[in-house]
Amino acid sequence: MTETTVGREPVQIVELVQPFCSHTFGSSPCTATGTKCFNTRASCADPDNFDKSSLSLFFSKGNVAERGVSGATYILPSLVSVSTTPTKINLSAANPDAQGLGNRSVVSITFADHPHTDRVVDPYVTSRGYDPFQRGSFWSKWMKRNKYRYAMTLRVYEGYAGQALSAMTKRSYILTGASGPDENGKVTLQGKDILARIEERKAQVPEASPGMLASGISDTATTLKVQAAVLDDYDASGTLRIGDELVTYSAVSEVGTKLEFAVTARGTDGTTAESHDDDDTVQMCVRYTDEPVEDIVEDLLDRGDVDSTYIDTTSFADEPADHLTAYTLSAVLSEPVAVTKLISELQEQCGFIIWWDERLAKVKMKAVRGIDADPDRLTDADDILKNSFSVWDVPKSRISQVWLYYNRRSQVGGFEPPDFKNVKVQADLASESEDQFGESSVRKIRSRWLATGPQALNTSSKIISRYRDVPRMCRFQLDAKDRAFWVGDSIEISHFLDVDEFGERNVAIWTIISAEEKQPGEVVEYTAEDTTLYGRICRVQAASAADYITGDDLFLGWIGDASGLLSDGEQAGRLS
Amino acid sequence: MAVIFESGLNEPPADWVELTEADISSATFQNTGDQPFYLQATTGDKPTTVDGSIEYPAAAKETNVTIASLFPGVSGADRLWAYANKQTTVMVSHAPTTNRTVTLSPSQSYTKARIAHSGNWLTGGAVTASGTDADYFEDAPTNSLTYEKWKPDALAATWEYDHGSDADCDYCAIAAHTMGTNGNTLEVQYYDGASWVDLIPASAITTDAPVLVLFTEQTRQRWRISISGGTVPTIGVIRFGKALQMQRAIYGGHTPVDMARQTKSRANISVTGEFLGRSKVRTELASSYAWQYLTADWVRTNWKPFQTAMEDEPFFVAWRPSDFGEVSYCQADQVAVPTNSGGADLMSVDLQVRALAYD
Repeated sequence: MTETTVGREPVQIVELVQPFCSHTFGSSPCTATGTKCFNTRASCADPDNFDKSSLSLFFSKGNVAERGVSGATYILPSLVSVSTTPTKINLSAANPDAQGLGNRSVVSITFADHPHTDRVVDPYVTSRGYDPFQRGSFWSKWMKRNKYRYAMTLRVYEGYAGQALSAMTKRSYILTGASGPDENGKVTLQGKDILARIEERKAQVPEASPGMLASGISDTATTLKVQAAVLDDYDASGTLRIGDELVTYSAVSEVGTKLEFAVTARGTDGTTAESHDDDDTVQMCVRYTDEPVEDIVEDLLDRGDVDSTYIDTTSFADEPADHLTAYTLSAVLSEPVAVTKLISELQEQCGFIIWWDERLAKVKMKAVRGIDADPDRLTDADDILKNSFSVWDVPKSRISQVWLYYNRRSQVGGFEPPDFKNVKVQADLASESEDQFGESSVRKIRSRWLATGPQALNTSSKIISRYRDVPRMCRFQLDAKDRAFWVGDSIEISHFLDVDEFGERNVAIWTIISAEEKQPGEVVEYTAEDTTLYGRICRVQAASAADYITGDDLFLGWIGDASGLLSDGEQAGRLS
Repeated sequence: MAVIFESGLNEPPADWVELTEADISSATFQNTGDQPFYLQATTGDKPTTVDGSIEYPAAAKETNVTIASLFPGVSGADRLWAYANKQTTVMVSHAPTTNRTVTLSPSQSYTKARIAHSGNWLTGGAVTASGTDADYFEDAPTNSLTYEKWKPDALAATWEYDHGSDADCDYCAIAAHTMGTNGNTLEVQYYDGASWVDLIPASAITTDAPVLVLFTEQTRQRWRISISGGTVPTIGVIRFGKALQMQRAIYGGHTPVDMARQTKSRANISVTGEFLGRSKVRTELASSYAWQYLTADWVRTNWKPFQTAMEDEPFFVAWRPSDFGEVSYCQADQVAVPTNSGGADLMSVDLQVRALAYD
């Protein structure tokens, strides 16, 4: 049974992956004695030998189709509901009401509590001197045995009767909250996507350094002595910030109770060498020099504890290689800044998006760009569900001018206009005229990353060309037969409510910014942004290429007439 | 059929009912029920054999005959007798009485519900299986949870319950199994001290519906099921015990549990009305059982233990084993409480259940 089976029977399974020791209580290397543990860290009596493996617990609603799912032999039928708030990406950071990275994917899962035999969860159940079914409840015991439960993995599987677990659609989350059981026997687990790890209160780059100058230094000193720190607090070589000065060093060593830095240059990166007092903070900096933007993003994610296995290597390689080569960046991060803020800045200023694809369980990347292949077309006849389609304008996102401040004077300076050497002003003044929108709408960008005129031009041009008109959003629902469409996909929509000035159907190109299984296995709801203005990406052809004839590939660059049209009226390629 | 009988257990012996109220030479009669019946003539005594009987099919037309013409070989016959394997009715008329309806009922009581519950099934014994898959549990069928299961590691397989001492049993109840899906054959046996003795013929299981095996009461210590054929199934519940037999049969109002499926269906259509998809969600079976005219003594002796048992554990109900194979493994959200139903020390009870659904 699949999405396209008439009379399909949806199945929903939740998997909770808890850490579980691979050792046996009291058997070497475990040296624990006394009351047996539950192979969880919280109940462990020999933490030094706790060997973290995992135990998967499966839950279902207990419907007929959810029994006997291949790949999940032991399923507790205590699932009550699964509620999700989907990932919502923020194209070009255009939505002022959303975070730069968009909205995090969130799941809330409710279970009914119940007595339990402790099978599966207690490896020593047969040797206990009591009947676990008569003691406590499943969740009350589980909460105690799994005190260190945050950051466990939650997976929600959606499939159909007869499907193996491996064939079902899977969404992954990190456990971020748990409550219950309450007096009504309900337990709720909350999860977020992996990008929650780089939220402001969790991940900062660089991390605050504990070291302080052991004694004052002059503006020419080439040796620094630092106290209240250890070697692990600093890189073997790199850049330090003391006051408003950046200092580079080639080595650091431990001398007595202090660290001693061999300074190679004072007053670097637009700063001025100056004297400093003892007890001044010595902050380790993070320096990027001519780094491709995708490498910086990966490094920031890594520093935010997002494991590299979560990175979608394909999109992180292909999209920058094809569309972001202009963005080779240099910067020094000299004070702790939230990783989410840094990545949001890069997204806005370099024109890409990253998001958590909960189905792939990967962080994906996509350049904000035109289409390079014809997208699938969804129609009101064959795809879009009745009474589900709506379109609305987002006037707050319209932009008539971009003021992009770039090339910082100093890497420790502020972000006010005087702190930058250059500003690129890109304006579409016609759109501000009385007969068009009648007012200006200015996007100000103050970039720590961009340093060249071409970069600034590239970024500001993209933004102004995309947002000179009021952006449009739409929402619609599809049957599960079309559930393969997901966040980041480009699609065409043909619907009778979306027409041109002549009443003909206006088949626009949309990018899905949010997708949610509204009725798991049956109905998927999408939110999309009109990205028609991004246009098509045409590949430059060899000089010897033949002239265009109708039917040729429009993703090749054809030279048009004075109006920019090809012989059959199709739009010719345009350099932008 | 999910009710499996010991051979011959549900085949009633002829239980003759006299149709006549006086010596007669002729009578008019008609089969007004939906089952055939058999007619015999004597000079007064109840027949002792079915030999020489005449079968009247269901809904046969009214007939006026003389006894001499019907049974020319029975000299001096002046009384008519009838019996039926399943309940039916006969309209009979003869001088001096006219138009009486006579009900013919099988003598066996399998028309009455059998109930297996925690008050009458065996507990506390030891379980031994021929082998168990590593991801499953040998003793899981001894609890009432349907998601904890035993799965043999190979077929043929046996699962034995050793009570530790002799106990009376007349049923084996099985639920939350996949023997139908897996195409298995089931045998139920007891150990007579020397060998395993079959209680039922090897029976092919064709659905995953709960199974109630009924057999002549035995007093034994060791009981087992044996599974062969097909592929390896899983089984969640296995019980042996002595069933509660309801005092009266169920008449009317009951929805056979097989058909009491609580299924929700939803369809998606496009803006222009195309059918895009159809889904269903199956959850449980919901039905009710009602018994009337139960005597007060019977209720106090037999119902009350069941009433207590249903507070804690699920139970099995076969509502009319003689005729229909529906068996439910169910639980009551609200304990069924008997009520007095008149001045003749009679009581009635209405049992609402939610039963385990299956493929």
